[in-house]
Amino acid sequence: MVQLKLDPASPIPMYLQIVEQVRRAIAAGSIQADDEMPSVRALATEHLINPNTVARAYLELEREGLLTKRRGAGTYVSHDAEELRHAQRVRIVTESIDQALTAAREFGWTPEQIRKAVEERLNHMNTERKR
Amino acid sequence: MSQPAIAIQGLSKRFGKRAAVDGLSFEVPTGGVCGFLGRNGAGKTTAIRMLMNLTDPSAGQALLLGLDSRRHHAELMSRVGYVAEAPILYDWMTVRELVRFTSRFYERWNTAAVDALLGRFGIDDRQKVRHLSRGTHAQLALALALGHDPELLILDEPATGLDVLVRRDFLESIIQIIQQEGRTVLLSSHLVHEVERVADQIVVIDEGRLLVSARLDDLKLRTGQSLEEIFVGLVGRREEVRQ
Repeated sequence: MVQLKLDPASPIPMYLQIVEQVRRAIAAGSIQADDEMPSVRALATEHLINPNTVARAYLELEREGLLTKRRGAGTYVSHDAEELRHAQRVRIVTESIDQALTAAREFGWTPEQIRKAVEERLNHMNTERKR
Repeated sequence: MSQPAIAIQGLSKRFGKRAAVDGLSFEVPTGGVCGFLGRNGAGKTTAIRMLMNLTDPSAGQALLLGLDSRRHHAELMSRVGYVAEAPILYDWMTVRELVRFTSRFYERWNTAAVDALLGRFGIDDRQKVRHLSRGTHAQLALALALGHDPELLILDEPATGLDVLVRRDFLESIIQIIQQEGRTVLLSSHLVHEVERVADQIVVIDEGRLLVSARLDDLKLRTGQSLEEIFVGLVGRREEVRQ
């Protein structure tokens, strides 16, 4: 089951919050192929939000191939979500890397400095984990 | 695209020299919730009263469900639900009497839906209207406005003066209402957070003039701001200009 944490007062549109959290849940494996998603109505009532918002999020996720609507039977995580999971993981990590790289570029770091920083963080994480 | 549920063109209302509503134009598409935002005194209630044919515009016109709000008033009464800012209900009646009384004004009346709403709100229909709390009073007004299964529901500051829990109930009812396909809600409010939760379109007015009419999602994507920041930016900036 997806546990959505939605913040209506956020500058991020609510439908995008849903899209992003479902993507991440699929990437993390907390929802899996062929799992049934809550209905638009159920999700809207649970979170006290406009059903159109949920419908828009589901449509976007269908377009990305992560969710599939089965006629008269609700919305499911796609059958090939296992393969999609890899793509999602790549996408999420790539986005984070891009963010860090943008910051580094703004500070005028050279590629060598960036590589060194990444190495350092990797080593740091490994020693943290061993402890 | 189907026709908009509301289409307002150049709507104006003057009281003497003062324009309460000044050349207002916007459209509300069918099947969504439109948050009609503005500070107290911005002209929201006057605009809504013109939509409901309770006051005549000085200029301009409003189409509700494709029909002129003045010429087709009688037909619109049976297809539009309205809850006024401070609804006046006959308070010497019991809830049950008032429901029966109201139902006689309509050809169609959904008794089951009204009973279900009263049940959800926990309203005992043997009570006198006069003895209801402010929150219950507002909920009763909403239940009555929904009795004839309106396609368009117009709510003027429905949650003002209600406590947080009752407001949640109220929002929940609004969400239930739009679960029925094709129904449109115009929700006027000065409470940004309430509107942010349920609205898919936002209309902001100040001093009777339109400041913005847009999809809430698009507004947020374009500005990278929350609705409160957008609202303060729009209305506050005007304040600065004036000083």
